[in-house]
Amino acid sequence: MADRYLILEDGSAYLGEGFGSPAVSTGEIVFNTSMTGYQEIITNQIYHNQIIAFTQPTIGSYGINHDSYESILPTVKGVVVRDVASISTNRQRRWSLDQYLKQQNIPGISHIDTRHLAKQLRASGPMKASIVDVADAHAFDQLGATVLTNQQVAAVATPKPFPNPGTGLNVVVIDFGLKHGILRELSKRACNVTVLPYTATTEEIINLDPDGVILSTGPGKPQDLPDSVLTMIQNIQNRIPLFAIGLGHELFAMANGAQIMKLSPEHHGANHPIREVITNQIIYASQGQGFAVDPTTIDRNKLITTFVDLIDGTIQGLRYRDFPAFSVQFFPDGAPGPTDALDVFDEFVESMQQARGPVW
Amino acid sequence: MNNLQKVLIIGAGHNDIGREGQHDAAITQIGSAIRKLGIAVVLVDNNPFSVAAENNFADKVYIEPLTVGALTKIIATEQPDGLIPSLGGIQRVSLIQALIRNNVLKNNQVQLLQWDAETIDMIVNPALMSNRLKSLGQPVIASQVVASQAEADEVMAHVGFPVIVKSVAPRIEASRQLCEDEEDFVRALTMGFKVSATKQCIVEQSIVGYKEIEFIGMRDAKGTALLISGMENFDPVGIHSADSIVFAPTQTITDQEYQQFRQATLEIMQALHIVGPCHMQFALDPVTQQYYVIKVTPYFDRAMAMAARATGYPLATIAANLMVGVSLSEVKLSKRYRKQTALIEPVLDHIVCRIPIWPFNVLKKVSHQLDTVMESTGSVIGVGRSTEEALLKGLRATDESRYHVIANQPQQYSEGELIQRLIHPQAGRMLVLLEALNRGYQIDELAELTKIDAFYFYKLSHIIEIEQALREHPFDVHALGRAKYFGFTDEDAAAAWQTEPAKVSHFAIENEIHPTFKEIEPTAGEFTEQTNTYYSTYEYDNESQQLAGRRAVVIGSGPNRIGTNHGNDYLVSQLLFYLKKADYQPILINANPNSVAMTPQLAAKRYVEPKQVSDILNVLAIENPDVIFTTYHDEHLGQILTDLDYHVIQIDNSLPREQIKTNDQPAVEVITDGKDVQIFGISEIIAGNNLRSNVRGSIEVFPIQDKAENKAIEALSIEIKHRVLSYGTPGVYTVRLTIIDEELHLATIEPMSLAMIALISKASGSSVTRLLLHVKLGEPLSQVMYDYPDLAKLKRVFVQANTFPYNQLQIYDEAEVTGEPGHATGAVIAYGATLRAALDALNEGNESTDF
Amino acid sequence: MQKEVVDSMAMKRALTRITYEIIEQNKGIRDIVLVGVKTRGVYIAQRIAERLQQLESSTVPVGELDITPFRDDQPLDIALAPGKYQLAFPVADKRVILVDDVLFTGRTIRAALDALMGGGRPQSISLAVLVDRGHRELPIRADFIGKNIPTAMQERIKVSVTEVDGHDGIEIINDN
Repeated sequence: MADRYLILEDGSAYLGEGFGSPAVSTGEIVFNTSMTGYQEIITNQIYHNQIIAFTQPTIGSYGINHDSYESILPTVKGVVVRDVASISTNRQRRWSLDQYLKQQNIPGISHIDTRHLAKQLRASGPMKASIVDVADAHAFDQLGATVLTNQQVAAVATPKPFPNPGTGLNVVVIDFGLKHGILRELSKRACNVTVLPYTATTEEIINLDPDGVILSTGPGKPQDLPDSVLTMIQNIQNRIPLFAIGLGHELFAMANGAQIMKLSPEHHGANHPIREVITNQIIYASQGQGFAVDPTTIDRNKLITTFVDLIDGTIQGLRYRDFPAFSVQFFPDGAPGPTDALDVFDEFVESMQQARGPVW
Repeated sequence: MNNLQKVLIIGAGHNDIGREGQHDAAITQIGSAIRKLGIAVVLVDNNPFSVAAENNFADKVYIEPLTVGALTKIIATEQPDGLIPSLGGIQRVSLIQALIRNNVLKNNQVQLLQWDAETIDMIVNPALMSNRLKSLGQPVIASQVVASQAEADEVMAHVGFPVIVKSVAPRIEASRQLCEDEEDFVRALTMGFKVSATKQCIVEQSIVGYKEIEFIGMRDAKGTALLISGMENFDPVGIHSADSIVFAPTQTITDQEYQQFRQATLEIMQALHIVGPCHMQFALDPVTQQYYVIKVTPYFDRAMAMAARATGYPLATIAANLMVGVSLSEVKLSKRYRKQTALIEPVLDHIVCRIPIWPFNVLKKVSHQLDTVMESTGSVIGVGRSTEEALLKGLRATDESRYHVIANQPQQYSEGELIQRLIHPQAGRMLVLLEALNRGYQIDELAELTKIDAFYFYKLSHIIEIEQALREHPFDVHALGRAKYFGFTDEDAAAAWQTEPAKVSHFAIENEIHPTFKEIEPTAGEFTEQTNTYYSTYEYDNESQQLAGRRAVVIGSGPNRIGTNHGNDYLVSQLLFYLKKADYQPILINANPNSVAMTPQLAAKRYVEPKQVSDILNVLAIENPDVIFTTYHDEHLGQILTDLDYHVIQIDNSLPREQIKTNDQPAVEVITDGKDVQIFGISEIIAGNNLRSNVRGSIEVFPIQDKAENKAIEALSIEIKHRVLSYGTPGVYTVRLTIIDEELHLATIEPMSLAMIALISKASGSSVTRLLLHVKLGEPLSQVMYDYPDLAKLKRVFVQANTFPYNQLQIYDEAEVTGEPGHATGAVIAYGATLRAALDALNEGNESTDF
Repeated sequence: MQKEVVDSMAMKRALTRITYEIIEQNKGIRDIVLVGVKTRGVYIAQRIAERLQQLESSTVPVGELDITPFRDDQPLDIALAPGKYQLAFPVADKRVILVDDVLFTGRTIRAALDALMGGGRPQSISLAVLVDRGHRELPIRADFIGKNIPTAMQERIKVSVTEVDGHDGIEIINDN
């Protein structure tokens, strides 16, 4: 395999070996400490335009499976690993990671000192980075000159509504770049789902007569989205049970007056203890966040903090005091990651049932 | 906290197969952690090589038999508030069950910590556990007792082939029969009913060939639970997991499978209210993804030791806190760890490979077949940044690498023999797999034949590829760089290039191929955690800096083997402990995950590395120590390092070279600084516990009980001292005497055995290793011995015997059951007011132990 | 025959949701007192109080109510016995939330209301139940419901709480 370089905005360069696509690409580099689930991470749209460095040293050892996609088309800009595994493909493992990244035109680079890279990024925060063939002045100039888009949601969210039919409660999912795990969990609970673009208006939502609304996960900075999204949330939240996840959670907080701050160091992994405030129980959940709700800006008369990250105290969940509208920063569907928080989906379903009243 | 003021810990007793140092290592850490919380610790153990039983790891130590009788008395005297049940292995769980049933705990108001009494019954009786797991909705292996073919057919209709048929209470040695079809099934049942005393058979679903996965969880009394580590057996179900090569983290399972195991682990721990760590074993059908819970182990074992070593998570210290009621969020760790480390699920950015060691080179008559009976006596770990590197380092640490094959010569196998070895694995199987790949067997074909995931065969092929490139390109920078990056050494390259390792080393340095050391810590670089434990690799960033102060490198004892080095780990641990007291920065090089010496309190820094010369030199290049200590088995290494101008102190504590006959000839135990000699006392040897007619083990008695002999020896004391001084070097020695014409004469002088060092230390309550260390460092005897207890005033008689693994290894061949020291896996110690009483105490609780 | 319809996780969630709904409908917890109907209602009230305390960092008083003497379906001599009803705090001008495990005919609640009203005039009384199983015989409804479980008349609902029963859960028992 060919020698390639991972170059960083701060001028550092790592020599490695290319795999996947031979393309040159640029994105913001982040490191993820998950022990399993590279396929789910690579296909999670929250990593749109980003390069993911895995700290787990061997990546690719169980190939690409048809039931582990978190989006149809991955839009990460690169995959950085210590070692990429060779495998035999079979019915379950249709492609190797190398083949898959080639298909999707995503470059990978292996033989990188990912431990050192993680320590570097821990200190610096995310940086622009490129995977290139030659680490010369030109490459660094190109990297420095590249301006990354802030229109990530528009790039990955569905432009058109689509259904995910079920026989149970009627749920509208507002798509900001949603993780399939959300739909998977709603399907398990027999929900009849309509996915709407993030530009959906209050009226379009109400017209579908939903029992509940979900604001999905997605990439980027919540402040980059149009104010109309916040207006929609303000109009919906006191009328229909609302559940917001990830980027959706940040938007829900903003719609209720809180501010969003840059998180440093970011959370990309699945091993932080998270305390559920109401029960004092500690759970573990998958996280992928570069932003967090600034706790000092929360209006205590409106919002209750429901989950807290015990490592750095970041807010991991909020709830409106006066009606069933709540949110979590982490990914309760796992995929990859612990299943401890799956019952947040049950909580949502029960809120919808309660709002509907008894069935007899 | 539970308002505890004093807790009782029952130790593991003598080391054995499956009981290496891991329990003692756990007790040293748990004992000191609990003491730090202001709770007194009482420890009972009869293992002379216990480090925990010395050096103030407990407030009070009882060297007593591990029996209901002895413990009942100790509990009555000490009146502890709580009992920690998980530190003595499965044998002590049965003992605690008896203490509960006899109301000893209840009558003395001793709280059983960590577990419900019900859990103890389930640990002792797997059928109860299986029922409980079933009631929790966990899949367990279907198994049913049948009394007729018709009943068996009914079971079969549910279970499906393959099944295992076992006879209930067979009157002859009957094995488990694996049945693939109806014909096998009928034959096995007919035979099974015939030999069964109750005319019954057990029909059990077969999971042979499934993947074996091990998970370690941790839970506090409040119910907070987290996953510590997932591990994957390279070998499929059918080979005892202790005899399997094991990787941490899991290598080939998907996130969905991983989360399923994590959830099952934590759910079971919650349901059983287990406090502390718990080890779960699962079988996974690689085709259907169906899993089964095979075993739940809430007591300390090898998998927990490996999880702690692999992750850098301070497992034992945290477990100690949980045992006495501290919650995971309240655990206070030293400042070297980030706050809340106890609650962070460990993540790894390295790979750990554990490889077992078997006694087959010594015990030739034992079955060499690897199956469901555990036969390994120890293990090593290799740590690296790739599967290849971890595997090669692990193999190197066993001293059985490709270039040091002792058990196997796979190149010479015929095709038929090779296939037999692939299907029926034996020790050294990795070499057989490599040979098969060398001969052109296809990866998928090998995976099918061996039930080992194809992933590993790609890794093995890669190793072959790298080695080939190395051979084809002598003194090629790229080939060497790549080989080292994936775990090869100077020695490997030298063999490929038919040159000297020193030349390869020189070439590597010239071309800037340098080893880098990385810390084993639980957050994969996300946070700053200082575990002071390192492994080598060849990457960009080196994290290990030379320690300040006087540095002493101690070469660890390596894997537990029978005979030659059992107990050596005790010596190494004590050296580390007293080097620290003597103001040295002790640095350990060791690859044994169960070693007590790996206990974080003992060394200032640990390198988890094999003992090949180039591996050692890489560490020495960083640390540049003032002194290096080697112990038994490493004389050759010590000589090489001396020749390289390192200051090496070799501690030769070998076992007697010849078997001592049980003819009660006395021996004098002495210490010398080279100028002066002091006598500790006189010991004698008597015959051991003859479980079998020809077991000729021996029991050391200290001090000698024969008054007349004692007098006669005193008369020889001048001559003894003279002889010792003429021998020269400072150290501790045994001077053997012999009776010629009814008169005592000096026979031989030899370094004092480890067993005797341990015996005198336990008898006097003061460490002989400390004295040994100081005379070796050149201090005068008067200064070293001034506060050592006077052994002449000892009122008790101590007896100590080697213990042998014949029962566990199912060795019935009389020619092999010799009781020679080279077969020992451990030792037991006891004392009494008289020799008779001491011998009774030694026998107590060891009725089925060979010594 | 018995069948678990709510496991410990779901029961935990139901209590959590009731707690949030109490905050939603009362716009906070000022003047709130919880009164549990013996036996299991008391434990449920305590768990709700713990949750409120976690969220709002202030204590909500929990009282116990033994309504045996007030039941209209009890033999006369017991019903007339002096009330064992006692609360450690006054309910006058408080917003009382009455807590019980199962809402069935409504007779227990009517008795509880009698008992409560005998102890002063609360600002309001609302009702929280873990299970509403239908078959009401009085015009009574719950404000906070953990779980609606439609049942047949001959079936029984068994609520288990760890404090009394060693585990949490709700079962339907059919004696036939």
